[in-house]
Amino acid sequence: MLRIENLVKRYPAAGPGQDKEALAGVSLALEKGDFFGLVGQSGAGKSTLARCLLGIERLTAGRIWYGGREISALPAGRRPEVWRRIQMVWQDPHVYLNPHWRVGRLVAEPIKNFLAPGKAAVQARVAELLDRVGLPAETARARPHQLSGGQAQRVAIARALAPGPELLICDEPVAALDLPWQLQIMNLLQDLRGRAGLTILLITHDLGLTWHFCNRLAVMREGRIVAQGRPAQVLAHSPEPYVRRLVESTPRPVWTARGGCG
Amino acid sequence: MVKLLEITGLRIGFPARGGPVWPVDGVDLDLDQGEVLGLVGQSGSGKSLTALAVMGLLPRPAFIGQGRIRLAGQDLLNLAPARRRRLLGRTMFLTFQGSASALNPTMTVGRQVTETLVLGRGLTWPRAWRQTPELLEMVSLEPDSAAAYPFQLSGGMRQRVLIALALALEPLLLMADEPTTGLDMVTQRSVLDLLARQKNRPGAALMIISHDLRAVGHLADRVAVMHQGRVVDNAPRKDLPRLAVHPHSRELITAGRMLSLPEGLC
Repeated sequence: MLRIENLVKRYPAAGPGQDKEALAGVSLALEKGDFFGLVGQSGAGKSTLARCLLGIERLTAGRIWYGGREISALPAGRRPEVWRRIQMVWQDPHVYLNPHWRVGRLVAEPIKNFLAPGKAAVQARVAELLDRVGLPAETARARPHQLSGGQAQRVAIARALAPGPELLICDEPVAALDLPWQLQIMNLLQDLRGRAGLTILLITHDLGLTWHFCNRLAVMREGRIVAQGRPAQVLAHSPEPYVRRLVESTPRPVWTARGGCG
Repeated sequence: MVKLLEITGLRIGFPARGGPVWPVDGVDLDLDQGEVLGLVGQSGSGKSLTALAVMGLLPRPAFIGQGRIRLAGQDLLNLAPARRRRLLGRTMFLTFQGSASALNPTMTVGRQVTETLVLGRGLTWPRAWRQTPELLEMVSLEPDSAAAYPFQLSGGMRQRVLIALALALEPLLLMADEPTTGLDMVTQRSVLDLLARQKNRPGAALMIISHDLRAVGHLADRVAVMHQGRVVDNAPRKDLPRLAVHPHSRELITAGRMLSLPEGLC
C-alpha cells in the first residue's frame, strides 16, 4: 500500500559545518490494515518521515509509492489528492484545533474542502463522524477549550477521518494525554482499524504503546531504521543493542518485578 | 518506621461566588523515612496543590481550610512564616512541574546551582562555585553545561539540573512533580535512576507525583491514587492491582497494563 525507498532528508547547516541528515536512507513498506508502530527517541527522524510522506517536506533523495503510484514527485497542486487518502493526527489537539471555532465547524471544514457536498449532507456527515469517534452529537456546539485532552483528540481524529482516508498517520497521538485517555484513544484507533479498515502508522517514543496494539514495528535511530518486524520478534529477539536499551527503558506494569531487565 | 510526613484531613479551597470550591477535599497521606511514594491521579485531582501546601507555597488565592501537615514531628501549619521558610530546601524540596519554567531563564545553569549551594547550604560563593561542576557531573551533565542557559538545554537535561539543585541540598523530603513528563522513555528511565539516589540517603524520603502510573516506576514502595481532591486508594506497589477498589484506580491499572511491555520481556 505504502512503500518508501531509500528516503534521505538533509537540512542545510545553519552555519559552517556539515548538513544535518534527518533521514539517512529509510525504507519501509506498509500493508493495508497494518497498525504499524514507528518508534524512536526525540530527534530520531520519525516526524520528518511523516512530513515527507505528506509532501510538506521536500525530499533530498528517495521515492515514495502509495497504492502503486509514485507520490514523491507530485507537484504542489496535486498534493490534495494524496491528502484525501492519507490524513494526519498530531500530538496536542489543544494547540492545533482553532480555539475560536466550535467542534461542528472544525469537523465540517475538511468535509467541505475535500468533498464539497451540500449543506445538509455536511451536517449529516459531521454527526456521523462524531459518532464514529465516540463523541455525543451535542459536542458539535462546544469549543476546544471546553473539552478534555482526550475529547479534543477525538475531535482531531474525526477531522482526519472526514475526507475518508485509507491511511492515518498519528504522530504521538496520546503523549499529551492523561493515562486513561491514552488507552481510550489507542482503543479507538484499533477500533477504526477493525471496523473501517483503516491502516494506521503510529509514530511514538513510547514503546509501551506498541505491544498490545501494533502488528508491525520499526525502530528508528538517528535517521535510520535499526530493526523491523512483528513486535514480539523485534522486542524479544533483536540483537541490536539500541533496541535492547529501549526495551529496558520502557516501563513494565509497576506492580510487577522488573523481570531481571536491570 | 518513623513518619517523616503526615497529612491529615487536608482541604485546600479557592474562593468562589456562592462559597469556596475545594480541589483538595480531605487528603490523608503519610510518608515514612526511607520510603518512596508514587502519588498519581489525573490533572486537576489535587496532587500538585497538596505538594505546594506542604511547601507552604500555595498560589494566591488558594487557602487551607482544614487539616494538619506534620513534617518530622513539626506542625507546619502552625509554624511562624520565618521558621517555615527555613525548612525550604534543606528539609523539604519540591521540583516543580515543567523544567523550562522552573529554572530562571536569565541565569546560567551553573550560577543557579551555585546560588542554591550558597543560600541553601551557607557555602561561600567561591566554594560553591568550585562544587558546582561536581554536582552537574553527579546528574550526568557535562561540567561545561554550567555556562549554558536553560533554553540551550534539552528537557531531559533541564530536569537533571532540577534534580541537581535538589540533591545539592540533601533534603529530608524530596517531592518531584511530573519529573519525567514530556521526556522520551530512555531519558525518563535515567531521571528515575537519579531520583533513586534520594532513596539511598538514610532518613530521607521521596514522593514522585505524576498523572502517569507508569512514571512512578519500580522506584515506589507504595502508590497513592488521587481523584477529585481525595486519596481514593493507597497500597504497596506490588499489591496495587489486588487492593485498589476505586473505579479510577482500576482505570489507571488497566491503562498501565495495556500501555506497558509485558513483564517477562527482556
